[in-house]
Amino acid sequence: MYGQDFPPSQFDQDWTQQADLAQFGTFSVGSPEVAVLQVAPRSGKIFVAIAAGIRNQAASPERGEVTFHVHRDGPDGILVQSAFAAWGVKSNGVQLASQFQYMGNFSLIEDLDPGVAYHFQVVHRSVAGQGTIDIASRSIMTIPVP
Amino acid sequence: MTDNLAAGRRVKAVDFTRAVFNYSQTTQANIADTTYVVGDPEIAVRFMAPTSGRVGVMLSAGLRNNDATNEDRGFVSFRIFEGDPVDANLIQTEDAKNGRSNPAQGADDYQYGGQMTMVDGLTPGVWYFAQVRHRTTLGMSDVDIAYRGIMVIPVP
Repeated sequence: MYGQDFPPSQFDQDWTQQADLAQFGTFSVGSPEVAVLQVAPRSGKIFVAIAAGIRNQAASPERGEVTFHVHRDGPDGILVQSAFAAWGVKSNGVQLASQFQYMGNFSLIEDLDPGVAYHFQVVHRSVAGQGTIDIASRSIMTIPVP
Repeated sequence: MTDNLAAGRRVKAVDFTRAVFNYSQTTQANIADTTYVVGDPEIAVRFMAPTSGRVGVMLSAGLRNNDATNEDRGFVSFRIFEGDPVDANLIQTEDAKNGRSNPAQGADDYQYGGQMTMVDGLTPGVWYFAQVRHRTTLGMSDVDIAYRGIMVIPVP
């Protein structure tokens, strides 16, 4: 076993509120970007943990999704994993929420090329684009695993 | 016998067995079961315990109760067998605290999230089978599950 079998884990988090989301259909990156550049280990497997705080202030059942996508080499590289809502967190449409609900979720990205850096970028969207979803925090952690 | 991989001890590849992951987006609709069932397709992983005898288990699910007239709740959790399920050597049963549940009635959409726990006391080098199962509290046929996933990672 060598040190390169386990490159350093990465973490990024931001508490800048993403307010009144009107973006739906396609995912957006948000501002500031929350992302990590993670070198793949010899196994080609990287554990991903996503967390976010979401609320819906309106009297309509709007939902928000926070997940991630992965590009090879950097944000402008080839897309190797598109955004998949079930690997992130999603609110369930509770209405008139004054407080944020904080949640996390996990996934495993496999078959990456060992030694190559991959850019894991947090993205979000609302389901209906009603402009009533807020996101209080976004974070991502990546850990190389055997 | 488990080993805590103390500082200075030589680390071997076998100390960290492979991480495994399995998931499905096949919806389990209108669930009436009040005892745990496997679901279709079965979501499960086979893993080998590392030298430490400890693994992290991450369970993910998307659930909802889309009926506004009852407070039925769904639970998604997991159990672990030593060897194969046919051997019936169950070492950990389902526990709602180790899984996911839906938060409210009348939810138009699924809420996705995850939960993690550590399982220890496993025998190093032995194969185990972790299986996702689900149930409802009231069996009102209003709880749906859109996503089930399980990941097992060896930890020191």
